[in-house]
Amino acid sequence: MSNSNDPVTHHIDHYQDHRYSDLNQRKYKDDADVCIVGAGAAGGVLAYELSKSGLKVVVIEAGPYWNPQTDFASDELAMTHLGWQDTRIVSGGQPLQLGHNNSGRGIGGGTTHFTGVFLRFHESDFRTKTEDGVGEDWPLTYHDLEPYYDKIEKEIAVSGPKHFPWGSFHGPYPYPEREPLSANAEIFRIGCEKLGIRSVVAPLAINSAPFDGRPPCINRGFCNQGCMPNAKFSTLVFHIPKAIQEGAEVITDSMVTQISANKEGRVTGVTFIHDGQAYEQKARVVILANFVIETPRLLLNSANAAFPNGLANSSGWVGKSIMVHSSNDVYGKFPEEIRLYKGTPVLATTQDFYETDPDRGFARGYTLHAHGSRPVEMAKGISKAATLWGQSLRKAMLDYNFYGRVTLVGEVLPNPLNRVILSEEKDEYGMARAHVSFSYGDNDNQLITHAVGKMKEIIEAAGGNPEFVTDDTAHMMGGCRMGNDPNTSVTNSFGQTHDIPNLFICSASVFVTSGGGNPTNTVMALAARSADYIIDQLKQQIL
Amino acid sequence: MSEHKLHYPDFNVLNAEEHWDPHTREIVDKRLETQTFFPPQFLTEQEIETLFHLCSVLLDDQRKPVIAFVVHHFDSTLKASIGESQRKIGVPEQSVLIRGGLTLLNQVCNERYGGAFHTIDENLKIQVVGELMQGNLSVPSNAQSVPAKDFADKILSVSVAAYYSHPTIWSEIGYAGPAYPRGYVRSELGLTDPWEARRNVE
Repeated sequence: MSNSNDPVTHHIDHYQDHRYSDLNQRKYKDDADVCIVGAGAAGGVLAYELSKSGLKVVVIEAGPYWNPQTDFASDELAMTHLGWQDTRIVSGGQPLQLGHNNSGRGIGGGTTHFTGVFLRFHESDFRTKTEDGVGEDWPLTYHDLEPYYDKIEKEIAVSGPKHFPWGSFHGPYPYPEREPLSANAEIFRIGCEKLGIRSVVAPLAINSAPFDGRPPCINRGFCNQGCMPNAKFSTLVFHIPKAIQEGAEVITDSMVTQISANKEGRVTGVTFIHDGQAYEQKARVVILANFVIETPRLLLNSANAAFPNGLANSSGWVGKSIMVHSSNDVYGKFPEEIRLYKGTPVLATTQDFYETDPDRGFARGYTLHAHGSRPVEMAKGISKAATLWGQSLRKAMLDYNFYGRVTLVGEVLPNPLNRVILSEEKDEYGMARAHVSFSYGDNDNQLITHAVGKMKEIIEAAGGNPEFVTDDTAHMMGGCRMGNDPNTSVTNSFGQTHDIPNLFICSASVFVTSGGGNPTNTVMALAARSADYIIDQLKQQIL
Repeated sequence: MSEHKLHYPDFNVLNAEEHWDPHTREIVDKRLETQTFFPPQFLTEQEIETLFHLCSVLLDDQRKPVIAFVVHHFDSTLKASIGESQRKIGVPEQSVLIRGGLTLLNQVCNERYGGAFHTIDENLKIQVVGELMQGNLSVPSNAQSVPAKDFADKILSVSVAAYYSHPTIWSEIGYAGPAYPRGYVRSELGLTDPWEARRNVE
C-alpha cells in the first residue's frame, strides 16, 4: 500500500498493508471462502458485500487495475482498450460488434466506460411470458429485487428527478438530478414536449454533488472513455477499494482458464494464468462474474469426465439465448450548433414506449435517450450505416457540431439460437475462442422500425432534420439464464447453478429477458441479492 | 481532392492544450510526430504506399501529416498482439485480410490500368474505391483470394477512427475535445465556453 490515498497502482495484487512480490505468496491461497472471477459491476458488489460480512474473498480479474489519472484519457481512440478486445468469432444475421461496444476489461469492468444510466426494470419485465406470451418469466419478481435496487441506488448516490413517471419506482432519487443539461438533451426534451411525450433528466450513477470523497460531474463528456475526475460511479472507484479495505484480495492481470471440480460434483477452485505461469486458487464457493460471453466459454472449456458437456450444463442451456439491446442511433442536423461532445452523454430520457402496446403490432418496448457523441463514434457510425466515404463523409463530418442524436435501448426477445459456443480456434492460453451467433427476430425488427420512427419525429419536432440512422446494438444479457426448472435454466434466482451447489453465476448472464432499458442497475441489484444468499448459506454451513 | 467550406477556419484545438491533463496531451501530441512513424513496424514500404493512397481517397484528404498518422495507426494496430474484438466467421485475421486486400487492389489496378493503385489517376482511384466499398469490385480470376467487402469495411472503420482522432481534424470540425480538468461549464443550447470554436457570424 502506498502512502497516498490512492490504492490504485500497478501491482498484481492489492490489499490493505500486505503485498508480496510474487503470486505464490497470497493472502488466501488455500483457504478462501469465495473466489470471484471478474471485477465488473457484479463482481465489485459481491466482493464488497461478501468481504464486509467477514468472508475471505479473492477476486481474479483478467485485466489491469486502472488508475484513472494516468491510464484514462480524454480520447476515444486510446481508450478502446477499456473494452474486452480478445478476438471472438461472430456470425448470424447481425454479427455483433463486441469489445468496447458492450464489455469491459480491468477492474471496474464495463462500469469504467458505461454512460452511467441507472434505470430499474419494470414489473412486467419479470413476467413477459405471462403478460405478453413472449420470452419467459423470471424466477423472481420486481418486488423481490426492489429492496436491492433501493440499497444500490442509495449506496452509490444515484442522481435523478424528483418524480420518475414510469415503472414502479417514482423517485425521489438519493441525489438531485443533474444540471446543467447539454444542448442535445435540451432539444430532445423540446421535441418530446411538442409531441406530448414525457421526458425526464436521466437517472445517473454520476455525482450531482460531492459524494464519498468524489466530486460532482464537470460535464467533460467522456463517460465512455473512463471518468478522470471520478465523478461517475464505477466499481473501480467504489466497491473494489472498499472490498480491499474489508480484507478482500484482488488479483489482476490474471486470466482464469479452468474451474476445478471434484468427484463429488462440487467445484474446488480455479486455475488462472499470470505472465504465462499457471496458479491454483482454492475456494469453498466460486462465483462467475465474467459476463455474457466469458461465463459460458469458461464453463464449456472446463468440461471434464464428470461434466462432459461443460460445467453446470446438464440442461444444455449454457450459452443459449444471449441478448443485446437494439441501439439504433438517429443523427439529426440542426440549423444551430448542438455540439454533441459537451456534457454527460445521456442526460434526458423517455420511457413512454416501454410497455407493450397492442396497437403497435409487436410485444414489449423501449427507452429513448438523448445521447451525445464524440467525432470517432459519429464518423464510424454514419460511415458504416450509409457506406459513407470520401467527399460525402468529409462533408457530413464538417457539420459535426450541428448534429443532435437520439439513441434507442430496445428490448430484444430471447432466442435459443442466439448463443455462445466454442470455436475451433484457440487463444494464447490454449482456450477455445468463443463463437457468438446473433440474429434479430421479427418482433425485434418491428420494434426497431417503430422506435426509429419515433426518434425521427422527436428530432423533427425539435427543428432538426434526421439524416443518418445507424443499426447499432448495446449491452449483453443472458447465456446462463436463471429459472425454477433445472431442465430449461442454468441457475436458480440467486445465481446458484442447479447442477453444482457451490458454483454461482452472477452478472447479466443470468438475465431471462433483456428488458427495454439499461441493465447495470439490475445487474448490481441481483448481485447484492446473491451476496445476501451466499452469506446466509455459508454461515449456516449449507454450502 | 475537393474543396470544403469550413465553419471554423481559425479554430485550433491545440491552443487549449496546456489545460489538458498530461496523459491526454501525450497521446494527442504523438499523433503529430510524423518522424516517429518510420520505419513501419509491421507493414512493408509498398503496403504503406498503397494504404496511404487508399486512405487519402477514403478520407478525401491528401495532407501528408494527417494521412501518415492514419497509416501509422494501421501499422501499430497490426503489430500489437491484442485481439480484434470480433471477427466474422470465415474472414481471415485482420493482418491477413488487410495485406491480402492491398495486394488485391494492386492486382485489380494492374490488370485494368497497367499500374499499381498509387500510380493511377485520382478519378480512377475514386472509381475503384467506390466499387470496393459497394462490394462490387470485379476481380481478375488469378487474383488474391480475399473477402473484398470485409476488407473494405475493415479499412474504412480503422481509417475513420484514426482520422477523426487527429487534432488537425478536430480543429477543422470545431470539436473542442479534451476538457479535463476544467470541464465544460456553459453546456446548454447556444452557450459556449470561451475556448470553443465559434463561427464568424456576419
